[in-house]
Amino acid sequence: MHIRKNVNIASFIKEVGQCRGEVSFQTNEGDILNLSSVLSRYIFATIAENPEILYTSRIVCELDADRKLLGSFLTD
Amino acid sequence: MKNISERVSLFRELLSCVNNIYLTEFDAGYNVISTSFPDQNLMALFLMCDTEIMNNPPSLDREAARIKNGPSIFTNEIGMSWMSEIVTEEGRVSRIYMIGPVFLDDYSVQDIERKIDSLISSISIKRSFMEILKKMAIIDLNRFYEYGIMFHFCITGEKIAVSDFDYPISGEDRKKDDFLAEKHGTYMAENEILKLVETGNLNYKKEMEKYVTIGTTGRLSEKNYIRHAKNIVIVFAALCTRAAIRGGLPSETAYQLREQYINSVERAGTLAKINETNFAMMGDFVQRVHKNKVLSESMSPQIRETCDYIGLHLNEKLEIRMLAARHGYTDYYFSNKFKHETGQSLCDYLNEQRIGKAREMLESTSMEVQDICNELGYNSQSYFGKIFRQAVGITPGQYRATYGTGGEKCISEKM
Repeated sequence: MHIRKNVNIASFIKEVGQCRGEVSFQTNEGDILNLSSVLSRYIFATIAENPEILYTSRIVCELDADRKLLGSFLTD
Repeated sequence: MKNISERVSLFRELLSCVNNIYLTEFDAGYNVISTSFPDQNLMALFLMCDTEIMNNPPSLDREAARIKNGPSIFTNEIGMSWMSEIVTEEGRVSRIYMIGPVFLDDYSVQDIERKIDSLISSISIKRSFMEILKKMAIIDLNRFYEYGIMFHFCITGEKIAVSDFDYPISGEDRKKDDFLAEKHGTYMAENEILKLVETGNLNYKKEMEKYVTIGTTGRLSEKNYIRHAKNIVIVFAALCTRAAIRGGLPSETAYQLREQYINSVERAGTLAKINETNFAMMGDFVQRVHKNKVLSESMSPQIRETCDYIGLHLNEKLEIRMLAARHGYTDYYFSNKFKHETGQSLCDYLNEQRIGKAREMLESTSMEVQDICNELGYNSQSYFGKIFRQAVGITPGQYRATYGTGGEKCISEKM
């Protein structure tokens, strides 16, 4: 799953805060940010300024419930 | 509202004169209205990233439940701190002002640099993030308080003290205030602070404000700022203990208090919790010294003995008849004598002592409220809750959530 273009990233981060399981942001360079960590979220916020990395990286949810919760922000 | 915006705008400019300290104005939905941070979008994202804030979003309910009037301070797990003030209009939150993020020491920044090396391999991401970090100020905690005091005045027109800062609760963490007593080069200030303990000066909070932001704290740990803050409290605990003993507090009581608070501060996980323990410790020492002085100077031996007896038997049913009989007095004479010497009826005194004990148990143990209620001789939890709320202003549960350290009280080795 990838982040859908032109979604509100602030709302996405806020919604990630509601997830029960692990939600990770995985870049093509192999970096993995666990978005339950505050530091990772801050790094992710910085990355969000760079569309090239933001939209080509993958979002991986550990739980189906979280995938549904974030559904409106994600695309295949 | 216009005046507030103008004042905030000026304050924002003043802040930018001396440091990279950013002031951002949000609406109630956390949309950025204006900010001095170079990237408005990023500021909005940063706020959302901060669990400490988002788990305790400013709201009217939280405002109503607050005990402290000053700005709220949030410190997250990577050592970034924010300060917030809320403006309400017609019963709604209309504006949220945030100062930050700032770092209160450079250990946190070094720690982030180390972590980011193991977390990210992409050089461009690393570089971008570190550039952002470098835009954030590293300032001394006391200076952060000073800005907060000015910030609050700017928004409300009220002058507040360091002890008025609010530390919202988050999960296992808890928030609150305030002071760091030891200052390099301010031996006089240290002596003055300890004199407040030694004399049992109940105006200590107000007096403290003269000294609390003087000078700078020394570096008492090379590990991190949490260890540094804990070490300050431990040193202060030892100094308070000596001051209290000089002030007449029985040494055993003073040592037990010291150990209790040192254990409590060792369990603390956040700066706010550490500072709260520090503040509570000083208050406890001052009040005990004061009480001891009052008891020994203004009471007859019989009433003083009765007060000691009550303190040791709070969990028992204490009737006037029994207490009077211990000294061979009639109920009527004893009641009048007690009230004359203590300024309180026996019933009020008992409730005050029991509520004081309840607060201590809620703060430092994990006992159930029902068990505390039983322990203190109350027949029903609802009555206990009512009395507690009347005395303290919040329910026992709310009190524990705000001040509780969660662990069993334990007293171990002496220094």
